[in-house]
Amino acid sequence: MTLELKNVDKVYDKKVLNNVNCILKNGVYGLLGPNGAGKSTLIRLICYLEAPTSGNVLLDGKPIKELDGRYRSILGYVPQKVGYYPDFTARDFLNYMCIVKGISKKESKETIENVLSQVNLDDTGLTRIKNFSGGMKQRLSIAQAILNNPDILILDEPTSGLDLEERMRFKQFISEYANDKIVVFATHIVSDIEDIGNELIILSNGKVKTQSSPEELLSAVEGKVWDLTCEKEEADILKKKYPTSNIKTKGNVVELRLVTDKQPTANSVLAKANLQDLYLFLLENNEFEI
Amino acid sequence: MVKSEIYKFAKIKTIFVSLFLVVVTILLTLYVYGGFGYNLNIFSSVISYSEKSGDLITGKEGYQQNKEIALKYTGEVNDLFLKQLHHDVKNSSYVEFVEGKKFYNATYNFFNATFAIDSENYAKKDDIWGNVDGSVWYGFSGDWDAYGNILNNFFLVFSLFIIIIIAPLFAYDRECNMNELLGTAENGGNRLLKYKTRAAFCSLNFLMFIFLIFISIIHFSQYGFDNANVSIQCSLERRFISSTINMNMGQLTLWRLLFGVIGCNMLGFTAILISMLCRTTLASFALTMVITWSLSYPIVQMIPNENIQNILLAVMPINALFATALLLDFPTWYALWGVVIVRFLLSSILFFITIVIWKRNYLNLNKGD
Repeated sequence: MTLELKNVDKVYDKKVLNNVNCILKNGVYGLLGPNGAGKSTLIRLICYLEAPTSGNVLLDGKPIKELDGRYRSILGYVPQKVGYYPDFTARDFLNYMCIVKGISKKESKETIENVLSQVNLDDTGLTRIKNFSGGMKQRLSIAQAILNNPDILILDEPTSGLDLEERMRFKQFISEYANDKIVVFATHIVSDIEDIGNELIILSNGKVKTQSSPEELLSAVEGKVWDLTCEKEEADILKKKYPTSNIKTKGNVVELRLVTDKQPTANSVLAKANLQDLYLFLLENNEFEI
Repeated sequence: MVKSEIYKFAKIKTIFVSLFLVVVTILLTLYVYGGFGYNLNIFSSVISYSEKSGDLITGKEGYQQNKEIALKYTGEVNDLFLKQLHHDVKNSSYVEFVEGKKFYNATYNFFNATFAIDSENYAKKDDIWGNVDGSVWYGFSGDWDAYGNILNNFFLVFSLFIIIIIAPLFAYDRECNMNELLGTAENGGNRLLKYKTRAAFCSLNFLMFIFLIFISIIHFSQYGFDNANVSIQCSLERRFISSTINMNMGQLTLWRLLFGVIGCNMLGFTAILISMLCRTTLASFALTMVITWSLSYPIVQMIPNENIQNILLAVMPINALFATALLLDFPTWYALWGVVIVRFLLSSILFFITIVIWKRNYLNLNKGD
């Protein structure tokens, strides 16, 4: 299965997406970008909640607009803003979503119990959703997305509201789930997709900055990440001068991690690059291409 | 899916509101029969009219008197009939009714129209109903008048019910951030519009049907179907006396039902449209109430221009529920059918706009398409 965005533009009052091209095959795709980069718009286009101003979103070469209901039948979506009916119980809600998703009554009961157990909400009984915690609501949102066992799962900031343990469980689940499916995971938290993303798509100012595997991307910043220790005053100057991926302050001493081509100070030492370093480097170097 | 939408209505507490309305309707029905006998129309001037004059007979006493007179003179109204009536009234105790000492206003309406008590001459049939295309049949109309009043009252109460069940139809999804989820589901999009609309109209029409059956059983089991052929000119509603439409009470009742059903469904369309445009259920409910009631019959009557009045009466869904008013303000068959056609056209336009708004605004599929 191949999902392709071909020369996609989206214009509201201004151009939000500019000639976006990418090809998605089975695996987890981390969609990274700062706020306002166009992540949510891109996701809305992939979900066919909106149509592109120009260009096409294609599934196996066919425009998703033509596939319509057939496309939606293989789609699961976790929106940024959790949607739910407050007076429903989790089972009521999932039952309603099963109907809307065209899952037969016969299948739905078993499916609901399965997904509730997958997201650890199987003991919520008659508790109404309005009485759920933020994390529980988020897990319910994930549950509804996987009800139809979708081939394309779109997650827009799915880990917000989840605690550390829930995050770990969720990442593990996605990793297993994505075996033969396309999972698009939009976030601005790099650590969310560090271990599970097969490929990263980095968006900046409505353009795809890069799409590549983390290993390939990391090799591009290898030898450009520097750790150093300095005094607070010097740190302030360095922070302004170079992209800074980490800061640790101990009294008047500051530990900095900078991403730059050249050694920033004599006492700085080369460090092993991670995705956070790469992400910052790409965002702050507009001309840089991988 | 239709069932699940109805279940959703129930979950968002409209079921309790519905039950409350059921109780209100039942109480209203009992009130009509037990409290005021046949002379209740809470939305017309009859009550205030009665209250002004202590001599008026209301309720069961008035009904009995009206029935007594009507049974005696039942028949086709012609010059001979009027002459006889004039003679009898002048020489009987009924005279005191028309002198204003003690009369039942329904009886008074008819008597008053047919002759002047101080005059030795009676009015000719053609002087009063010359423009009516057909014969005028006098008789007891109390049962059918009462049924008409109950229908009017029911449709007005039910209009509130319609607004309550339809206001959340789409607005509630927005309020709950469900639009995106529904829009990405297999049965989202146009199918969802179809199912939601069907759920709304199924509930609306099913409940309307149940209520009407309930009211009709209570009424007709007690009073039967007699006197359906009495002309509307002899009805309790005093303004019908001058109507030029040749219609009897049975037909009037069918028109009331027709207008009520059309009006409720048009109101349903209006409520659906507003629900699509609002972000919260409360806003949807308030806006529908304001839009539908601000141009209702009592308000429209205050507009000095009669043409504008008539247009608003024909166009505003809520005014279909004031069936009596419509029949009075469109007093010819052509005008009456014209109003029905306008209403059907308007329903189609509302339906069309609903689809357009759904596609353009609700699903946001317009931009750049």
